[in-house]
Amino acid sequence: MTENVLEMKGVTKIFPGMKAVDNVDFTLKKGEVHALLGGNGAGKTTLMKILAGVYQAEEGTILIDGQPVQVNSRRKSQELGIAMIFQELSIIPNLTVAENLFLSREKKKGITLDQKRMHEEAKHILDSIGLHISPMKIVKSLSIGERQMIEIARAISTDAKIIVMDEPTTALTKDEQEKLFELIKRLKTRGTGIIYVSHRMDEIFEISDRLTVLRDGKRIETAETKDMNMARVIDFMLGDEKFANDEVAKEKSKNRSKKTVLEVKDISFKKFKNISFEVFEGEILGITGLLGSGRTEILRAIAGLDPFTSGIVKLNGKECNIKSIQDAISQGIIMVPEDRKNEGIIPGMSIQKNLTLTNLPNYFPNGLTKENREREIANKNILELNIQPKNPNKHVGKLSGGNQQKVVISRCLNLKPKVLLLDEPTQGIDIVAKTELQLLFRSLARQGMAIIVVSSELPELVALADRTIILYNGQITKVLDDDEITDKNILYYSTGGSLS
Amino acid sequence: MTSKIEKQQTNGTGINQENVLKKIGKGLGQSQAIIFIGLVLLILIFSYLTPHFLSFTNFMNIVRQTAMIAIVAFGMTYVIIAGEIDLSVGAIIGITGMMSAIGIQTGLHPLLVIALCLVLGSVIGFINGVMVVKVQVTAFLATLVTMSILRGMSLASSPGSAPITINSTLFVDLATMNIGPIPIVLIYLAAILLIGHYTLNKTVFGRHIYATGGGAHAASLAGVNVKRVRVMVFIISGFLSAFSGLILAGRLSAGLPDSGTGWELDAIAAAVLGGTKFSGGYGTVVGALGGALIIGVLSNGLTLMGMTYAYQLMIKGAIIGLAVILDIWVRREEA
Repeated sequence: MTENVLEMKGVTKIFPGMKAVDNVDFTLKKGEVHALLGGNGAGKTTLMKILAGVYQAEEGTILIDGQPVQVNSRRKSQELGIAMIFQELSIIPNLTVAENLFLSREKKKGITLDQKRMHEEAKHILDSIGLHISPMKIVKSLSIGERQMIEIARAISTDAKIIVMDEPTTALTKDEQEKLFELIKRLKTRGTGIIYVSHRMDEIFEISDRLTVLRDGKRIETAETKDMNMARVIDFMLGDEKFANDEVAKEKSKNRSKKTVLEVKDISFKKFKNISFEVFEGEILGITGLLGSGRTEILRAIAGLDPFTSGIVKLNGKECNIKSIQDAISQGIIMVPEDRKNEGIIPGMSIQKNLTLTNLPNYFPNGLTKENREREIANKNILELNIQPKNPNKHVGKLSGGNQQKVVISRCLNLKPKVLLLDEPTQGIDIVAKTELQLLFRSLARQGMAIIVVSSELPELVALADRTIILYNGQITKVLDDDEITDKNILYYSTGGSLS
Repeated sequence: MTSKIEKQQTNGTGINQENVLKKIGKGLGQSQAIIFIGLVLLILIFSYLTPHFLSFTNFMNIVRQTAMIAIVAFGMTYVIIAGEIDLSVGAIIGITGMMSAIGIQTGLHPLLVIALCLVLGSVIGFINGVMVVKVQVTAFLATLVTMSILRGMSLASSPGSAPITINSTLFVDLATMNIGPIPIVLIYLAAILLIGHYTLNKTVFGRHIYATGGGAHAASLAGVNVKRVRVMVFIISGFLSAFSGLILAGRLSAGLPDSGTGWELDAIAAAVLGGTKFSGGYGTVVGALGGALIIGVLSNGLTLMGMTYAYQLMIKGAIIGLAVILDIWVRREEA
């Protein structure tokens, strides 16, 4: 029997109003790759943050090499041999590779830094994982993939027993991904345990030995990867959501209008080239692709945030010259941004003030606000979208993610958009609010609104989109229609399937 | 909201004292209530310690001294709510003082001089704003630059940096006269306070200021012209600083090249004492008035007690520090 390097028993973490992690057991053997799966909000990240010492669990025990331990700080976690490689890289761009590798554990000679020794050791570590990069190089000049390798090198240099990789391949090219997998195999032979968090089924089936599926904070299933198949894993991941998604999918309209509302012709900007597509009246058009494929950038360009440099956008046959957000708003092109906390809500303001913000000059053309009129509008919005709590004076920062999103969407709808642009509209939102919102989008479409949804959640696109555009490296590789929109097709084309 | 609660309180009968305080406190916003309670405490302490403190004449003295700081602090409050900072206010006071003295010396009509100085202050504010918005220098640096240049110009505007006397009764009267027993500056102060408060709370522009400081990205995506808001708050701050500079010149009957030195710190302190959060998005001019009054009462009371300026500075610093710590605690509890 192989030895367990990590055992988590009955771990529970409670956030106000919800159990983010609910009595979860999780084990990791030496030299094993254990994949951790689950939809957004399933509790994967929370569980890993408990392991990283970022959060403390309310209940449960953690054993490392059979010894019970207290992981009560980030530092403690590192001392216990746990290394985290998060999606957002934590290396410092303007330091050198060696400086990054030894950050906070610099080698010293007396009171000065021992640069020479650090370079030598860095070189040794990099060689040992087959990475031929000079330790003197400034990290800024490396590719994202190389930077990720540096992070892994850092983990190895701390003699980590457990390495957690959170969506490590999102920003990698195919080549870099293969390199990463080779490295993972090498780490396995050294006896390092790896927890591999990912959405991408194909990778999980390629690299993992076992997998655990979480849903709503609970552990649903742990099994040997070779005994599982994709369809079963997806069933485990979705649970009730599968039914909810079916509900949404049922609402798709059968006979769709062929009247073009928005026409995008040959637009280009930094991250995308010659993008053309149309959105019809009453249609929900999905746009997807990997991180960095340009999916968000296209939306931002149309919404006037980062105006495109060439090409044209036509609204109802007329060219609209969008140079700023105000231009887009005044023509009825309204965007719900992805980064809800920074770009969507103003957390310190009340629900009411957030709701009326966009349209304030229209409600009060003479520039003077009226409390009663504002309250009226806010209360109407609160009822329409079932925003909880129903108190217009509550600060938006204190609401749940789902309700914050409802505030943002409601605010946008007050402008009576002709085209609604949604960027990851249900990210980090609980299943109930999520279904409510998806049904809302569908009913808006039925009333004739043209909607574009950018999403990285495959089940959402499958349930919601009438057509889906797939991007790869800033270009459209495929447009899927109706029944062609399946998890498998989206995955295939968004990883460059048609090109390779 | 605020006025409604207070109205209910005054109309209602038999409400116990504590409840009233609590409700008023809630209406004012917590940190502001603390400021006014602190102010009352300070007044009580000084009344007990020095016999000359508690008199109408002395209070009017405090008002005369405080009004100018308060007016600058109102502008500063606007700037800080929008998430910026203005270090040039003291230097604007210096330059407007000198320019008004020179203008009157050269025989321009005092009213024209006043108008020109107010325009000058606004233009300086506009330059600050443009540096922040277009050149994208941080406000701290941009206004540090104007502060330094303007102070240099004030010192250079008179040979040997000597004060220039103002020989205009109209100009001096407009700053120092009394209407009945009330100093005219109190009327200026009240008018600016009302307009400032009303603009922040009852206009679209005011809402946009809070939104800009509370979350510039979100505000801009919601269609708020964040850049314009930023430029506007600097213009307002520049205008009010010039206004204050004119009053100071009138009171002194002279332009002094170094007048207004260090006022930026008093203005920032008044705003922060009044519950305006440095991170932007929160704050009121009523609070800033409270903050300015605390500073004014402190220096007046300490002077009456015979304390030198050196010790006053130390005590002032300590009290501001205390208030900021208190404010952070309150905020932590709220979160």
